[in-house]
Amino acid sequence: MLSICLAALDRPELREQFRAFFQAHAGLALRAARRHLDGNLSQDAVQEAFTAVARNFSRVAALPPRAQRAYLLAAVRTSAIDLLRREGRYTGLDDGEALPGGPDPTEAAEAAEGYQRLVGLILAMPETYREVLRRRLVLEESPEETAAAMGLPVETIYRRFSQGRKLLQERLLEEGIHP
Amino acid sequence: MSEIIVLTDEALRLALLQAEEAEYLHLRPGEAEELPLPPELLRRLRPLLSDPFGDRRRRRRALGRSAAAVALAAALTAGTVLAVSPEARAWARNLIVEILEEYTTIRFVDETGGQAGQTGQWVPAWLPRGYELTEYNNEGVGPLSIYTNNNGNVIFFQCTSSATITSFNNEHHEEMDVWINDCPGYLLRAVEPGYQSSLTWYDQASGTAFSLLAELSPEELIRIAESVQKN
Repeated sequence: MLSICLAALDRPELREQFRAFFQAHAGLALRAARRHLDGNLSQDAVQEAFTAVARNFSRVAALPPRAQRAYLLAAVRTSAIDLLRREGRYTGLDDGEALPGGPDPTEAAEAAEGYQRLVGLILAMPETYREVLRRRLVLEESPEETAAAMGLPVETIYRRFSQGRKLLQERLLEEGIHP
Repeated sequence: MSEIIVLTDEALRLALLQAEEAEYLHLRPGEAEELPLPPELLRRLRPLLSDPFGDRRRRRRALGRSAAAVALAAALTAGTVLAVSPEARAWARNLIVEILEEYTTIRFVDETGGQAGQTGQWVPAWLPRGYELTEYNNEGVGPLSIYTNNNGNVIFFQCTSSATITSFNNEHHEEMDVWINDCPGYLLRAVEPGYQSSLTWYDQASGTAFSLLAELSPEELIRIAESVQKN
């Protein structure tokens, strides 16, 4: 099984697919990085984000196009946080550039239904938990990788992962949606 | 009629992706436009574009051995549980263990509901010499007590409801089914120095799931677990 996975990564068409993905979205990644970082740091974030995408590209490539783009945005956001954290400047990302009337997390959570309600709850949940869920489930980091990047003990990562999930379950239950 | 969402890892993953996209789609006009790439950035990315998956190939080779070990451990655990006794077989239906590549999630299913929500404060009456309570936190999914000794070694002890999903690293561990005062439990024993072992068990009478995490032997963990009592 493992040899099949390794062989898949050597497929020339997958390499070409990754290059096409880069060509299509690199400008978007840089724009997203510039929301949080300036100059060289934004370029660092783009480089780290595409490295993260390459690491999981066989899965990313299987996603619908919009989800592929969202994956890249998640990777850029995570890289931006990492870079700020390494410089001791991270106090939460400023997403204040959103349009008035845009997805106010609380309103989005209250207005949405069903599965979209879950998305709304994620938008409204504390970044403390959301970052761990994003790293573990979207970027598929190991608990140790997440712990090292966030400068926390690995036990804290397990706990936040579990608590973040529990928080969503509880909120869904409060809304009469059974997780 | 209430809705049902199965909160699997995959469903959460897709919802997290949609949340990322939702935030980006509501930028001010012009903010969502792409930027031209500076030549410096293209130069820096050239090695990645030339061999995008070199890094991943190296990582997967390193993971191969642990993945195989976990698969074997899963097979052994299932076999052990089913071979033991009718009680154990009945219990196996109430214990949901998901063994992933790097961690194991454990969840107890109690259709009776136990007495969840009335757990009070549970404390271990026995701890290895030198450990003292240094932190108590009741803001998460359940009360978390942290005991520390002078060498900086730590014991985590948490009480939660049956529905809580608990996750533990399993990359350097062996799995064991155990009984704590007639309550079924699941132990992940660290087989390499520097890694913590974990013990999770469920007391149906009180509807409480307990977790211990520490760099201790299985015997010590079980002794702590057996000493747990309500304050």
